[in-house]
Amino acid sequence: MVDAGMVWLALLFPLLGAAALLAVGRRLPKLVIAGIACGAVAASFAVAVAAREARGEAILGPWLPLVQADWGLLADPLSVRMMLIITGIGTLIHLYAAVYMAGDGGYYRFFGYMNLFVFFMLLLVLANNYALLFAGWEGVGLASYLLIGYYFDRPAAGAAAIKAFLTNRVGDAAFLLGMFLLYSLTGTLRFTALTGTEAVPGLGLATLLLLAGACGKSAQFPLHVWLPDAMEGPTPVSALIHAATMVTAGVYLLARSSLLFALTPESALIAAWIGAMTAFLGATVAVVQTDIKRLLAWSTVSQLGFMFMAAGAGAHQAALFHLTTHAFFKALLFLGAGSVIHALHGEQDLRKMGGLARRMPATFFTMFVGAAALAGVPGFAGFFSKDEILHALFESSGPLFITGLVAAILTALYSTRLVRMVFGGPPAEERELHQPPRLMTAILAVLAGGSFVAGWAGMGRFHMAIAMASVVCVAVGWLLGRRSLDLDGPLYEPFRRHWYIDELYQRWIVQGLARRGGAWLSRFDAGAVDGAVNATGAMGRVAGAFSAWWDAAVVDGIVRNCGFLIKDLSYPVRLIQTGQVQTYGIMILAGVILLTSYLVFGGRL
Amino acid sequence: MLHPVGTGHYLVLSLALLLVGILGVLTRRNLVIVLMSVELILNAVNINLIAFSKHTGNLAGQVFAIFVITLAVAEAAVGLGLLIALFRNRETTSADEVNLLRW
Repeated sequence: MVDAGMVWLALLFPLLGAAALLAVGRRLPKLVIAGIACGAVAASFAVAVAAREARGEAILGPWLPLVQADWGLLADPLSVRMMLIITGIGTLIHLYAAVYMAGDGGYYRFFGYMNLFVFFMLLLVLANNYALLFAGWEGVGLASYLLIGYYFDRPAAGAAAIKAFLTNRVGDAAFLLGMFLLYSLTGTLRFTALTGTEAVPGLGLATLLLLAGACGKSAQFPLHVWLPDAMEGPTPVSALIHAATMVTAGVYLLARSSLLFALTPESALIAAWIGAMTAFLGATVAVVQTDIKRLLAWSTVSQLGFMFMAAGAGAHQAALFHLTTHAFFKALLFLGAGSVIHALHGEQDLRKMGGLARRMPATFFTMFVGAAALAGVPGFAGFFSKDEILHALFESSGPLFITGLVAAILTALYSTRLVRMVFGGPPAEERELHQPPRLMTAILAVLAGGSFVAGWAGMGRFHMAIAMASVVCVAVGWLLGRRSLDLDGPLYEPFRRHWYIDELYQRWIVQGLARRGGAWLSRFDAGAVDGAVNATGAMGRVAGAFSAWWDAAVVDGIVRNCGFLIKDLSYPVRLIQTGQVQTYGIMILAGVILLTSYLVFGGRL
Repeated sequence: MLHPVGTGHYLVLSLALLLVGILGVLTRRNLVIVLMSVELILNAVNINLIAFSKHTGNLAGQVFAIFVITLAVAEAAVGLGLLIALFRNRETTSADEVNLLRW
């Protein structure tokens, strides 16, 4: 058993792993790299398992005395649960990636970043104050940026990485402001010290700002645009960062701040409605996706919307339950998708897949379990967690509940569509398959087991009526998904174009900034930069002229006047130097006579 | 009526030679004459030394006079050498025209 004072060990291993890999990984053989990376995360997982009963705070040392933020770790049911998910799923995904990424260059870089991500994610969930949480928050953003842009030779990957980073930055700025406001209102950032907070004016704004931060990290409307593009990263990254762990940081933040949100019901309601909008929007767009990874990405956006709905409705336990089950089945689906892509030599287009059920039975079976869990088929994990969320929504507000049901129908629809398009029907293209290595299939099987068991293990009270409604939703979605695979009508146009949000941002923000910003930059360049350069030059010229004048007038003047002075003073002396030897002789004689006279008569004169 | 020749006479002779020599050194334009006048001065000194040597009975004066004669020979050799070199370069032996060393 490990107590709270030893939880820092879980942070240590991934940090050491990342440091080792990024420092000397280039020279290590692939097997050693994979061993270090997987070993580090597995060691963290072992610590997490040993520490699952740990409760309490451990202060490792002072950090920011100004806001009384320490290097402090907090172990409570919430953080321990997150730690178990991150390290547990993380270990499986690391193992999977060890095989999946074997053919890629920069192996050490990939695993170095992955370990770095795990470290920052653990820092995020284990921090005992908002400032340290924010450090981890920014750290995972960095790791996410690095991993989305992992294939740096692909322009799309670079653009996606920048988009993800900048979109997150909007949320992060809000988070930071919220943190400042919270500190000025309550005088502390420590979670344990914030429990006694009372509703003060301004707290609503602080929680709204925190919510905006959560929206950025968890890809909620209107900051959701980066997540689908983030699929440019390697598939294990999509599974670990952009499905199972990092994007749940926003949900974790809401759960961590649940007391503050309880004091500001308006902010909680806004969170719920943002979640509802995102759940609906994400599900509709997922329905028409033709890229397997993007379908899963939009599905993730939608499922995170579910979690926000639940958290906003005050059902944090339901949100966390869904977070846990989602981590299992979405990691499973992504890794399964990775297997399929791997088998088809990099093909990601759903329309070019089909008929894989018989040819890849293990992948089919596991992904079927994942899709069933995602759709909420009774008995599978997603069913139980969605059931709890829908129940919470039912008790909170009618419109939210309806939105939840619609999103659930759409979820079942696109899950059905996913499985049918990949595995069902006739093969779209006959070609040789790359059978996945046994380790990959084994990991899929473990996750499939988790996707099944996690629901039963976490099940709370069972709500029969809600369950019935949910079953009906699944059935409707399944029927719709069976019928229509080809979604080409004008009805689907807004879905296909992501509700025009990306275009809107492109038109108003990116291009506006580019155009107006370009003009402004050009003016800035001509005015300020060139001005500064020219002004420096002009000042240099003035200084040079002054220096030249000073040199010529003052310095030379002094030197020359010294010369003149001495020359003038020496004029009478110079006259006696005639060059005539005999003149000198007379002078010597005169001198001798004078000296002799002095010596002879000196005493008497 | 003739007085016997005494030390005083030598001193007067020495003084006269000295004055003649100095006058020659300072006033004659020809450098050969100047060198000759320097010889007069040295010999005036010699007479003086010997006169006092006889007067006091100390032989050191006479020894010293021998040294002065030796020195005068060396001085005449160097002086005449310089004079020849000067004449070869400037075609003159006039002290007035040798006045380059000035400001």
